[in-house]
Amino acid sequence: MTQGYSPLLQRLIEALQCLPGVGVKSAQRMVFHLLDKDRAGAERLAMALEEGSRLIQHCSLCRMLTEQEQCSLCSSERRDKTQLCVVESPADVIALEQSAAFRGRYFVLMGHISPLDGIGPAELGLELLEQRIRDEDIKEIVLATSVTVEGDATAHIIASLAGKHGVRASRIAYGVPMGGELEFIDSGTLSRAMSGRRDIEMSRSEGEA
Amino acid sequence: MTERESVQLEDAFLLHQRAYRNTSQIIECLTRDHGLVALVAQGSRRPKGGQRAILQPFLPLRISWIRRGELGRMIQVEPRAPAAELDGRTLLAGFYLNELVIRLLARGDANAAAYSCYSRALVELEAGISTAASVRLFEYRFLEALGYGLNLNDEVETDEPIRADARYRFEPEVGARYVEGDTSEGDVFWGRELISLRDEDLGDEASLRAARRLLARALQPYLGDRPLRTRAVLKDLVAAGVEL
Ligand SMILES: [Zn+2]
Repeated sequence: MTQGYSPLLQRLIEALQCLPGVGVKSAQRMVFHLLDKDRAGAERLAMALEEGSRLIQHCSLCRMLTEQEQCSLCSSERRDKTQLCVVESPADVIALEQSAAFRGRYFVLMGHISPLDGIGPAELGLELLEQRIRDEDIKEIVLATSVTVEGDATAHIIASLAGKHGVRASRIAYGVPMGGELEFIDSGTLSRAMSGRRDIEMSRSEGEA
Repeated sequence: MTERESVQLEDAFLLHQRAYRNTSQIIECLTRDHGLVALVAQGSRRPKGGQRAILQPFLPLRISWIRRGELGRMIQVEPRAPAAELDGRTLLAGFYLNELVIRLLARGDANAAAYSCYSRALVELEAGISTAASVRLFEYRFLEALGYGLNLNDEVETDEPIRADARYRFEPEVGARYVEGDTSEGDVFWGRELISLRDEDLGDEASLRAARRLLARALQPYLGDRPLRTRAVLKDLVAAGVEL
């Protein structure tokens, strides 16, 4: 398909196809755009890729991607060291940070347990996680793995590790999304929301009761 | 298979899935009347309107598809009943069942017995009486459904009924052969252990352990030298000190 292009051009088109969802067609489009319309962008991209792939590693504490030995979240003194939130991907960390709902620290599994694909404790860095549970002053593990069968299994396994070291484990709540109208929500989500229902706390003034 | 096959809302379970292109999945299903079916679920991973919540293992489904070759296209999917409530130990057992089905059921084998065997095992796992016994009984019945049923009635040489107090060597694909003397090799079993498995009565620890040993041998010829991934992951979990 890329025959007729010069060798360098061919190489570029092929290289771009390592991206998920990028085939020959879209790789060609990207290459023409970069070379024809945005040379400066192409150079920035090349440098960022070169530097990034050379310098970015996993944080030695939480496995988040970073060019430092420890990421800024782990080295921050302002984070609550007694809470550790376990997520599947770096994108989950960013999403939670944007919600500003969590002030503790993170651990990134880089996936979830998937026995049929041979993805088990080693691939998820559970040894490192257990070491942290053992060595640090963690009081609560917050499990924010995805709401799928694999995510559930992953949560169970980590909760078991936490339990072994006497650390409390919790799972983030799930169910009806904000602004969600019940009739448009799938039955799986609804049944989770129903089984995970909780009491409405009524604030009572002194005079009552 | 070059003829176009079009199936409407057949009972099925999803066994495995993998991401396909940007927003799709390839799903591997065990169906009631068509055996193992691999389908592209187009757009199923889209954040809005995707079917990821439904395309989960252990959830009884109804699926419609069309296919001409090995890989079909999913047209419709809906849940048929609530998902089996598995957790921790039973969940991992469920994954093991799924891998066993994918590995052992031949493509194109429209095996209704295999399907009912599988759905029965999920019900038993959910009931939570004994995970290990449920898994062993699944292995035993599944081999039977595949036409590889174990002969635990008679001694292979003499055709005499298995005796509880005699000892037998179990040979995969052959059966139980009487052994003399006091041997404790891994493939030798008490007659009573063979009888417990045959009668699906694995209530006590000894017959459960024997059944595990025997079924591992019975499955071996059909698994070949490619080990089961779920088994390896389970082993790693135990080694990591995870109590399930
Ligand atoms: Zn970190």
